[in-house]
Amino acid sequence: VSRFDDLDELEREVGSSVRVALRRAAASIADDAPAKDLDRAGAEVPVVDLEAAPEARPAPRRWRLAAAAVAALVLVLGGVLVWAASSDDAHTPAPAGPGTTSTTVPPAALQAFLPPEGAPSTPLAGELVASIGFWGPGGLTAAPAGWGDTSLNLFADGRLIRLPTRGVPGGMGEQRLTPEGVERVRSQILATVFGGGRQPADSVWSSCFCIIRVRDGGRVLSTAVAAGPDADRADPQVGRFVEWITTLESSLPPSAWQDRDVAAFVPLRYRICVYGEDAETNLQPFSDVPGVVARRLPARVARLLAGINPCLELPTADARTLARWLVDAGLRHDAWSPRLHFTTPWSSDAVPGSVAVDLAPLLPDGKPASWDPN
Amino acid sequence: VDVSSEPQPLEAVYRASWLGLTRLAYLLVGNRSEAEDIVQSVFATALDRWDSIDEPSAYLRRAVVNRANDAHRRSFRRATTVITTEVLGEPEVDEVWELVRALPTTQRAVVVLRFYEDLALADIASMLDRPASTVRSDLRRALTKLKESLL
Repeated sequence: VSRFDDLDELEREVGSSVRVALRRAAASIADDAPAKDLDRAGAEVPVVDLEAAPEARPAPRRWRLAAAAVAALVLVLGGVLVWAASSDDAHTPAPAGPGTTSTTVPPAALQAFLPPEGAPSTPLAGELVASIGFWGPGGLTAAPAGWGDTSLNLFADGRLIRLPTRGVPGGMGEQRLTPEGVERVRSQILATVFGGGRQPADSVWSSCFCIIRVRDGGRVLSTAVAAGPDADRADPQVGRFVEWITTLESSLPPSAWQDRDVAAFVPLRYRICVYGEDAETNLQPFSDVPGVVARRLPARVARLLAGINPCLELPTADARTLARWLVDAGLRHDAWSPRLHFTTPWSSDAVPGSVAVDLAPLLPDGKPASWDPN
Repeated sequence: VDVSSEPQPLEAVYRASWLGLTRLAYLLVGNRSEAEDIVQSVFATALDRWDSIDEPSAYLRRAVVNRANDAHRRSFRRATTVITTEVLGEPEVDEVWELVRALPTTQRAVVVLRFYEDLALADIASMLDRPASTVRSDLRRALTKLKESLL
C-alpha cells in the first residue's frame, strides 16, 4: 500500500531545469509553418494529407464530402480497413463531452473487467513458476502489439494466466499446460534469460521493457527492474525470447498442452484497499477508513467491508457486488485491467484528499494480479 | 462548455492549434519533420469525425500524444534512428533536453506532459491510458535518471 517516495523532492530538484529545457526546445519550432503550408496550398484550408480523398482539399465546404468519401472507402475496403480504423481508435480517445470526463474508459470496457461470476479456478492455491510482465500501453520495443501492460503468469499446477485477456469474463484468461509444458517454459527461461542461474545482463534485458521471473529450486530469480528500451543496446536475443514466450501456442509442442483453449480465470478472492488520494494521486492510508466507508456505502455493501483498514480480502462474488455498486454510483474509475481503481468524491477530516478504492484479483499464489512489474 | 454553440471549423482550429501541437509532438519524438507529420495525420484522422468531437483541443492534444508515442516506439524497433542534435544555445539547457530525448518513450511522454503541459499526474494517466500509479513510477524513474545524469 505504501506509495510514499521521493517524487516531490525529485520534482523540486530537477523540475525547473527540465521545464526550462522543454520550453526552449519547443520554442525552436517557429510559428511560420501553418502560414507556409497554407501558402503552398494556395487555399484557405490546412494541408491535411487526405490520401483517401485528395480531391477534397481545395474548399472548406468539401470537408464533409471528404469525410463521406473516407467513410465510403472504409466500407468498400471492408475488413482490413475496419480493423485498421478500430486499431487506431484504440489509441485515439473518444470525444469527451460534458459529463463524460469522469470516466477514463467506456462503460463496456469496465464491465469487461468486473470480478467474474462462476466457480473459482482450481486448485484454489498454486505456486508461481514463472512470469513476464510488459510495461507500456502497447507497441513496445520487444513486445508485439497487444502485449503492452500485460503479464503472463505460469503456476506449478499448469495454469497459464494472462492479464488482461480480452473477451473472457473478468478479463483474465486461463490455459493449462501439462507438467512437461511447465518444465519446458521454466527451463527455457532459465537457460535463455538467466544463463543457468546467473543474473542476466541489464545491458541486454533492459531493452525488453519487461521483468521476468522464474523459480529455480527454492528461489525465484528476477531480472532487474528494467530502465526501459535502449535502442543502442537492443539485442536480438531479447526479441527471439519475447516472440517465443508470447506465442506459446505455437512455441510449445502439443504434448505441452493440457488445454490450449482460453477460459476465464475466476479468482478465489479479491484484495480491496481504501486509500486517501490527493490531486497528484498520492495514495495514503488514513485513520478512519472503516468510518468513512461505512458512512458512504449502503448497509449491504458496507457490511462486506467491515473492519477494512486499509485492505481486506473478499470472495470474488462479494468483490463483484462491491464493484457493481461503485460502477452504478458513477464513480470515476480506471479500468485498464482486472485491477480496478475507483476515485470517490468522499472526504472527511481524516482523509488526505478524496477516497480511492482498489479491487485487485488475487492469483493462485495469493498475490494481487498486476501487469505492472514494479 | 457551451454545448449550444456551433462547432469550430476544422481549419480555424488547425490555424489556432498547429504550433502548440507541433511543439508538443516535437518534444515527444525529438524530430521536427516527424512532429509535423504527426500533427498532419492527427488532423487527417479527425476530419471524418470532426462534427462529433465535442472538445477539439483536448481531443487533438491527446491524439498527438498517442501518435507520437506510437511513432517513437516504432523508431525504437528500427533501432537505427539517428537523432540530430539541435543546439539551442545554452549548454546546460541543451544537456537537459538531450537527456530528456534519451528517455524511454513512456517516461519521456510523462516528463513532457508534466513539465511542458503542466498536467497533474491523474490527467497524464488519463491522457496516456495508463494507471496513475504507473505514471507516477515512470515519472520517478525518469527524474531519478535525469538527476543522476546531471550530477
